[in-house]
Amino acid sequence: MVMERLNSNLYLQNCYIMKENERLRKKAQVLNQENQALLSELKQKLSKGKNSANTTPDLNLSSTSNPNPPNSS
Amino acid sequence: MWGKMAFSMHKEPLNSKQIDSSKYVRYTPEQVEALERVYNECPKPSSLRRQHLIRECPILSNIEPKQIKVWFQNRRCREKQRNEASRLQTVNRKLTAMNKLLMEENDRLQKQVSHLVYENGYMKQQLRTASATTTDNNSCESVVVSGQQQQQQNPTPRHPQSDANNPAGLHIIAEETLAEFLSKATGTAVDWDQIIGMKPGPDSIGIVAVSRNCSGIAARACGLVSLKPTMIAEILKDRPSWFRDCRCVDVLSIIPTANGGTIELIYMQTYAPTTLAAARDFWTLRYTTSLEDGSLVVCERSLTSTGGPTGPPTSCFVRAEMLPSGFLIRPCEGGGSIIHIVDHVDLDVWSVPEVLRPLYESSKILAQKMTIAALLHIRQISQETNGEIKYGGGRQPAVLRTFSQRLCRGFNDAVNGFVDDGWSLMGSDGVEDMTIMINSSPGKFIGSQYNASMFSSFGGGVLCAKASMLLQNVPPALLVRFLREHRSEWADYGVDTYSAACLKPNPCAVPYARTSGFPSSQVILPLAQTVEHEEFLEVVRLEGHAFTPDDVALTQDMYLLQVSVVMCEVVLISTLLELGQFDCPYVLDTVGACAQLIFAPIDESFADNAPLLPSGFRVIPLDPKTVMDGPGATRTLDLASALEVGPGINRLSSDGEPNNYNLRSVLTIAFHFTFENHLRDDVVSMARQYVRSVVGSVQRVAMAIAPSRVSSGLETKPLPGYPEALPGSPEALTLVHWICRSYRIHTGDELLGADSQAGDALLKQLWHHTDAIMCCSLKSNASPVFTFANQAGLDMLETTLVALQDIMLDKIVDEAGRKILCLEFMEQGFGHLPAGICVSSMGRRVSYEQAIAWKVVDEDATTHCLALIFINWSFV
Repeated sequence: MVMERLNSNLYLQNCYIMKENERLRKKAQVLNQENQALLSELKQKLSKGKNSANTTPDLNLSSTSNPNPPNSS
Repeated sequence: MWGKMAFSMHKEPLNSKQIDSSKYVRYTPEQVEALERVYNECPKPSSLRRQHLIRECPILSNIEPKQIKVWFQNRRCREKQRNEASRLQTVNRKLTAMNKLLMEENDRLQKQVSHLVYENGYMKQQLRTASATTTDNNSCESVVVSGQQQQQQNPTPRHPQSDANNPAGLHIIAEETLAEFLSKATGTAVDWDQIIGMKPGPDSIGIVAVSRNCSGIAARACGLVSLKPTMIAEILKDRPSWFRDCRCVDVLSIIPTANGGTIELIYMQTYAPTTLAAARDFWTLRYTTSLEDGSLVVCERSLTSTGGPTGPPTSCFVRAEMLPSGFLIRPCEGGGSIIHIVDHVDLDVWSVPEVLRPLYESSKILAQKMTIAALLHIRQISQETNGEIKYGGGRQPAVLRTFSQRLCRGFNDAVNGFVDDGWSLMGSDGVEDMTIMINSSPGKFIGSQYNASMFSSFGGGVLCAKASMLLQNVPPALLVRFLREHRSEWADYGVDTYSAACLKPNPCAVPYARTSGFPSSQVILPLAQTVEHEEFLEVVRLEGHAFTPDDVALTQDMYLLQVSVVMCEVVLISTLLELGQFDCPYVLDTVGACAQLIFAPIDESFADNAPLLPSGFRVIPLDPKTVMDGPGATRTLDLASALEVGPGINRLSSDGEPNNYNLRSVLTIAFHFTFENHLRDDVVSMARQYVRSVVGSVQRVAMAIAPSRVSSGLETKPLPGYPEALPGSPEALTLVHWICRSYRIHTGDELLGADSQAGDALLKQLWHHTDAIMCCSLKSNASPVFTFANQAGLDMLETTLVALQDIMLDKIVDEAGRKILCLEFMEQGFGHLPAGICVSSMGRRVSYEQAIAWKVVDEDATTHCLALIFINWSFV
């Protein structure tokens, strides 16, 4: 019956990990949203501060390859 | 370890026989060899056979008959133990694989979360310093760069303004598709509810999740497969081989990409599952590439009008949309791979009749048909490649698989009846219950598979009679299983004879088609089954039992090739986890599995390219969630939500027991017939009559086998010989309620003590109760077998949930005990045993303080089973 117990334990462990993963996923989602908000806030602050500067950092966020600032959605 | 255990089990170890009369018996190697040989032919020889054996075989002649008997008994027991051990090994392997997958995901998620936390902190810090007059450019950029990654994980897909009518544009679309697909595969882009493929016990195929609250429907799966990534990619890219609903896939152009990948433009047609809505097609871009970490990715997305070349025009198809989907394959050490599959589609729900909408909005059905099907297929190939599968009927599994693919395809062709296959509609006879379609050039769609020369002299064709209808309160799997096992309840031997005769090359031999009404029996000869047992391919031999001499001339043995497919029943794991029930393996909520049964007459020779004209049944459950709560509902109507939701939708009855929510499903029937032109109208009317009678039979069967606790005015006739309770039906929780309530009725006491809980907590309480509680079936003509047990019961019987049904009550409780139990039980429906001894399934003695047996009744006071409790039990 050792194998049976081992299997039951594995099964329990799997269920526990699944639960944990779900929790982490939700946390990642929340953090992601928070980061988005922070990022846009930061963008705003930076663009205000850049009005008088020569070099403009590329705040283009919609495409990695396109150097021109498009309309960001 | 097993050898030792086996040794200790038996009072008379088999491996020693001494010439003096010690109580141990030892056989010489020659004797053992001889005995094993007999065992392999006949594991359970009768006493006559055993005597014969002693006489015939000189090596065994000096062994007492009783010893021979004991040897065989012990040998059978050893066999059973070995099988059990290997089964446990398999389960262990699967669990370990799952465990590995889960740990990997866990690891990845932790990294992701800590990365996000770091960024979060960094940005907050930046915000504080950004209000200062000077800002460091570099740090801004790094923030921006990582911000881009964050944005690309944003769940809303965007269609870019960029020009997609040139290869560069296609590349951009391809890269975006890749990014969006990856974010779904790794689980952050869509809201997912996890599902796990599970039968009673910890078997599982991998982690599957379905979408909630996103546009369209999505399903995702993750599994471990022992194949190389490139091979997996090759298998999965060949969609028609595993996606049974796929009619055709045309790769219209291939464009190579810089890193050795490809971009393909693909047009795919899929079959409609019922006769009530049109089929869907897709026009997609598929991008194959490798990532820096060595993973292989194949992702795909529909090209919409805003970006990309326009696809082929569609006539009888509705254009559906595939949102970024695909599969990600990562090699792992040991030669296997971890695969993540995402399927995300929008099937244009609003162009479908309202009653069918749940089917087109169901992520779970999508999961069954595509995601799980893909995973099961590569698992199957992997096991075949690794030599773990026995060949059936002397044929390679691939050949058998072709049979089942052709059967499914032929059935789909019948249900859909595409004009470009040569089908045309025949007028109805006034009653709109079914559709008849005629095909005068069947060679077109069946092609080389069909012996078109059959009708060359007389002219003829193929006819299809089909219909779709709603069924209530019968799980698809149950219905299909019944139809498969009890063909005589719905089929007509005369019609089957006609279909079989049409296969013969000589048209003159085709008898006039008529329904015969005389009985027949079937013998099922299994050919093959898939690893996870969701598909069974078999040959059915039909024998007619004629009574009149005239009819006898008509009877003949005929053969059908038949496949039954029942997708594994899945459970909503989030329910289990939230209720803290993960330490109790009984499932609380099962989602209906799609099921189909398809058969075709086949010639005795079973040639690999034998022509097949399939007919059959398909039953698909309509997800009750959308029916009840409307689109966009966030929870399945499982026990948890039923408890939360208000009284309008809450179906709980007053004493806390759940009713079966109204499970509806769509049944589609299609039957193929051949005809010669001069007999066409007769065959048409026979087909109409036959399909009507089949529909009637199926409805009668559905009512009879529905595990109904819904009171209806209709009489439900229980069909003889058909088991009332399958594992998982009725639901364990309901059974537990019945057990406790029946106990209360008989004794006035609470089975589980004064603080008995209500609802689902009761199931958990019973499961963990220290006394052994079990249920046995009550069959009049057979010895009762165990159908249910709590943990203590399983421990006492020394068995597992899956093996429980192999154990008979006779084995456990001795003769005397059974007599007492039966006497009292017969009179009062209740029996009581004082302290005594019983025996586990392994032969170990168990003592108990007292044992009680009582009749378990359901809401309608119908006897369901026998329950037993062994109080204060322990091994002797």
